[in-house]
Amino acid sequence: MPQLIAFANAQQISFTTEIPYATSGSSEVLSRAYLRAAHDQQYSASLYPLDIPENLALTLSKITDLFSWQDDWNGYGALAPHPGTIIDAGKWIGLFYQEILMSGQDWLNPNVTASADGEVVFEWRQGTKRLTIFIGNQSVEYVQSWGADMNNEMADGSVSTASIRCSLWKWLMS
Amino acid sequence: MDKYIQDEEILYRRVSAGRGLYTFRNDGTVEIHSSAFSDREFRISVDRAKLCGNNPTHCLHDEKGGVVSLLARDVRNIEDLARNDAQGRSIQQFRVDIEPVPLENNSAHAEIYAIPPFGHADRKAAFRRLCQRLARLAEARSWEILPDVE
Repeated sequence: MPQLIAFANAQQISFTTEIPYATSGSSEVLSRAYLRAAHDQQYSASLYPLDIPENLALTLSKITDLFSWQDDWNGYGALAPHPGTIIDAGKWIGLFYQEILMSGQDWLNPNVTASADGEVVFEWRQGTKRLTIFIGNQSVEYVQSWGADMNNEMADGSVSTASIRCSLWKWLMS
Repeated sequence: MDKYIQDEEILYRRVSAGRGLYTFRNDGTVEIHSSAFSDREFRISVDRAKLCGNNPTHCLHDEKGGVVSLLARDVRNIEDLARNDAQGRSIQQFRVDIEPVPLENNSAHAEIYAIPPFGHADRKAAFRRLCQRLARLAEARSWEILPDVE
């Protein structure tokens, strides 16, 4: 069965050189194929529908690196980020970047890592403030922290709207 | 073997290299990100310093990265960890403790955990806040082993 990746502009690319023999093998084959494509300049515009600004390229490169992470990547049994989650994270950060620029605010590149559950995790710091975004399977959530008190100096919730994204950024940069 | 972890005990936690778990600042200090304490089972693995000769290299297992530490007393003194309802009101308070969990290949292994245990509902809130707090506690101390500059 050929493995197909459909990109945002409806371009389809067939990867038929490998035939997966099991369900888990399918995901691995597809993710390796995506990784190859991500490194191919010819397909970069297809992977990221919006133009890649130079100051976002480093972040996108770190996101792409996540495809190579294996289970137990932290030495404590953490799950590797799912390829679909990595793709979603790349799209989300591009969208967020565009929103910030259009609002006239400055952009900061985040730290990029993952959680033990395989979520993609972005973190920004400004002084004592920390904004952490978790990109999971069909979910985007945040934790704000501005001190050690977990009750009075931390907050968390879902990042479900542009308004929430904007307010989180304003808080971080204020 | 000690079955109770004394408040004065130092606990080591390995922070792997190349995983975005720490960042070097311009002043040479190293930030620790909360994901460095993430765990699928909500039980954060550490090694008891006194049971590995107070040698943090024990934790690295020949892997690249660094080692941070926590003081058992500081972990047990974590307060105000709670599960909140949609209106932000506390509906379950948690304590934080550490217990020895020796492994076949690591007699120094212990785990930081919550009482009562975290449930699925706590995965996205209480546990993440705990990881934030542990990262701040570790940053307040010096790294036991600084990672190499990447």
